[in-house]
Amino acid sequence: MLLAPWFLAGLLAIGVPLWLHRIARSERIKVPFASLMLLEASEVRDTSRRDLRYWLLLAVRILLLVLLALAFAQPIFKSTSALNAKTAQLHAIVLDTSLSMQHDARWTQATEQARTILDNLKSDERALVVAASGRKIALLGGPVLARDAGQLRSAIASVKPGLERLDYGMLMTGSSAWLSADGAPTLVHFITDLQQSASPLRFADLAPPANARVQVHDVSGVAANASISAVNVQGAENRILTATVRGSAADKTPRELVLTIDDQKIATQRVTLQNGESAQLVFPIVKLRAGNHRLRLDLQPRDALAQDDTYFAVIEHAEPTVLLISQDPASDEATYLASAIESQSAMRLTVVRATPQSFAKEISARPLSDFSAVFVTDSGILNDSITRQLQTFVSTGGAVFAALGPRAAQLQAEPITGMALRGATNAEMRIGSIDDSHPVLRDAAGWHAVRFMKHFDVRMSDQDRALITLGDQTPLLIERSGAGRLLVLNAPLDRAWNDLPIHPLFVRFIADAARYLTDRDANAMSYPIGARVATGLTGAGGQIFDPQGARVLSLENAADAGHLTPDQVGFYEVRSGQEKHWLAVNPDVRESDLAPMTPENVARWQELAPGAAPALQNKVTTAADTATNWEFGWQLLVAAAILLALELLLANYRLTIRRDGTRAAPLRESPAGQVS
Amino acid sequence: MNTGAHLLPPSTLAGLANLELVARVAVEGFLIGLHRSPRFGFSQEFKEYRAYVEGDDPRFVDWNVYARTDRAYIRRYEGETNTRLMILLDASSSMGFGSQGITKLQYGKYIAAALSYLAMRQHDPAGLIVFDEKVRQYRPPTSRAGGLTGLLHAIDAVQPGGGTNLLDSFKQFREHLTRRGLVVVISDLYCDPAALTRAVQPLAYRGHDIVIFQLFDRQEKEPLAIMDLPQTKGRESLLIEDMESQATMQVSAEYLRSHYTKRLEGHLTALRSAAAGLGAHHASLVTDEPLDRALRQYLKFREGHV
Repeated sequence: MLLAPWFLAGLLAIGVPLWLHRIARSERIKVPFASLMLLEASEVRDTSRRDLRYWLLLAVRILLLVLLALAFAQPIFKSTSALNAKTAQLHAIVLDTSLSMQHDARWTQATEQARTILDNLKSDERALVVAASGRKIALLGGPVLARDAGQLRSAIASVKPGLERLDYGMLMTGSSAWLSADGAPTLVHFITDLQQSASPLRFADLAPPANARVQVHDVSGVAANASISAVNVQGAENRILTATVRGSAADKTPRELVLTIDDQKIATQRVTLQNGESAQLVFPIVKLRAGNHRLRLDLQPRDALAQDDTYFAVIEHAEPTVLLISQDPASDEATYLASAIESQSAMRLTVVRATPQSFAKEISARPLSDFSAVFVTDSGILNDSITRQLQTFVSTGGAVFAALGPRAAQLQAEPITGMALRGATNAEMRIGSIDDSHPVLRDAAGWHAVRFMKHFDVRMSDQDRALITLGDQTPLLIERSGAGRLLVLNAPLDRAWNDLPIHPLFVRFIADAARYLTDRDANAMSYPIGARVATGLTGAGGQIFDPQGARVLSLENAADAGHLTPDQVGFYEVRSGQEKHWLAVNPDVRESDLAPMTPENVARWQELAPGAAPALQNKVTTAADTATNWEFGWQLLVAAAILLALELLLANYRLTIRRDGTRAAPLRESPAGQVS
Repeated sequence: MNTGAHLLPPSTLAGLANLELVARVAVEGFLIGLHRSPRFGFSQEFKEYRAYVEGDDPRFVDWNVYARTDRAYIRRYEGETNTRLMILLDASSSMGFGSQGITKLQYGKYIAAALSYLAMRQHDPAGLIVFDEKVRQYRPPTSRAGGLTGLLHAIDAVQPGGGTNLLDSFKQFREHLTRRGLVVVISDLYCDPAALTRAVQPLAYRGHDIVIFQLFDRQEKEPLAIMDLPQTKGRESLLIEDMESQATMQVSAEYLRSHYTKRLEGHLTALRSAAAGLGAHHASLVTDEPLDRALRQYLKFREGHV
């Protein structure tokens, strides 16, 4: 077996001495003589002595080149019992580089464990190293033979744990992509802290691919950690901030929770966690001016996992106002809608009523962007100007609720969304399906009692999603995804086409819709690291700065400025023209939960893929293979060096003869009269 | 070297000073000297009578004898004169061969210089013709004071080059050798004996006394020594290059060991025979023999034949 067989091309160099010696063979020593008159030609016969000397030098040179080519080709002698490269054992060392691995000495133990695994490999076994964190599964090196594991050790020394969360299920289901596909038996050494929170919902997702077996190396140890798991802000004007602090059973250190808003320390509270319980600390926030505010909570003193002792959030303090556009502010639908919106208790909303005629006046007094949401009782009343402004409002992050009323029957398409309308259908319908996971429809119990006598035939686009459909699959409530939030109700809000307004769920539905549409103004907003976040940028201009102040958007990814996948914790600053807002990014709270998997579950995991396990086990324990490989590249080099010395001696000997021969050759008088 | 004085070391000159160059046949000359001229003519020393034959000059008829015997006899005299020495030096490429520290051409130059010096001491005019495939240089015989220096300069300037063509070269000699004298040919004579005969025969017919010095290198006499060179040791055959034509030939050691000597002897015998047929004297000299000894030996040989 040759590790670098392409070096055998060097054997072509044998042609050089052959060519040279061929010339040498034709070269004969000419001896000058006065005249050939008295001589006679005889048959050419080389002496055996000359042959021996000549061929010896040629053989030495050829053998030297052969040895050099073989030495560079790195030959390995394998006995018949040795495995070939296809079936050589592959050891996949997977390093958990999630946030929890930064706890105390876990990472140090993990790297030492990885090096130990490499040290214990046999020379004919292969190894690769993978770093797993978040959605990134990085192949750091390999697969290489164990004796060439130097690069793997360097890779292990250079990698550090990150801030993201690792899901074991996602790691294993995608493992076939980074494991070798040559069918070799594979042992996956998973070096991790075995967080229970990293387990997938389905245990079967932990199954390794075929021919692979998992061996878990636990580096968790006894872990104490406290973290801020949640922050909630309530109240419209005088807000109340509730921070949830969670600790582990081993952590009984008294701590302080420091609230900082816009880099200004606001309040401090002491907390002592007992037996892994959670504590909720309440901070009243008063006299907050309008606009975005950066909120930061610090748990002090910091523990061994300091990254989750700080929580970042953004709150926007404003006087939430909703613009209600209707043909007649005193109509039933306007009254019903306004009453339902104002009934929202968690956050008091102010409703400003407008008609298509007074819309311009209202907008001039208060920009549309200052409204938390816009409600339209009937899309058919909107003129082109209002339609364009509402479309812009939505595309820049605004929220609109639009109902399709009788006036929309004259239209071919819904004005704001552009959804095609194919006329109205007179048929009594009830609800066919409902997405009760949507925040607007959390109380879906009463929807089946609602009767719909008439509705529009609506054609949705790819961006639309039907939250409620009627019995004939006609969408009733449609949400359009985008930078802003847009809900379209395929029914008027009066009682002419349905009896929705008189059902008890109406108020709750409108209140939930209003809360959903104005949600970002009401809560302390933050995103987990690695999530895909809408930035509100439209692509034309704007920049995002990461928590370190570095620009995130380059010329290449400026087109995708509408979304961001943050990889740092802290505040991202989003600038668009004169406006700016913040995005708060925190570690995934599940990484703060250091509770390990139960030993039973770990054992079950390692016993998955039973077909591959016995073969792997046999290979690992076969000790006879260790002596079957023999590398003799360096021996060839030594032999080549000896041959080189021999070749030099032989060649020098021949050169010496020629030099002396020239000196002893018969004289030949040159035309210049000099005797040489 | 600007002069050819180095060609005549004092030991050589001392050895040659006591020798007397005696021409076998005296030729006509301006001065009466040591050499007896082979030419019959106006001389005071009577030699013999000969019966008149038709064509003889009637002025030489001895009328007194005719009056007494009524038969016509021609009076013949033996005249004494200087011998004109003409040295023919072969400067072909093969003369540039040498394995003993001296080439054949160099050795030939020594001989030519020594003969010239010897002749000049006896006030004999000496000349030089250098040839290879044709006549490359000609210096007419002269006995003037300073002539020796010029002659030695000419000898010293000779360089090897070209092939050997005795026939063409000697054909050109006849234009310059109008008067009878001693012709000394210094060459390695790598030629066909028949060609030598054809080349030299016209000179002999014109009454020239011809001496041929054939030069050999020791390796030409004993070519097996080539096989003892470090670069050729152990070989059974050699690639030998002709210095004149640059042609090569693979020659076995066995041939050099056994056949070459016989062939060389055969060639020498043929040459000697050809020379004898022409009335010329032939002597082979090896370049590792002492120069004075070789000359003395030859001149003694010549003296004994005069």
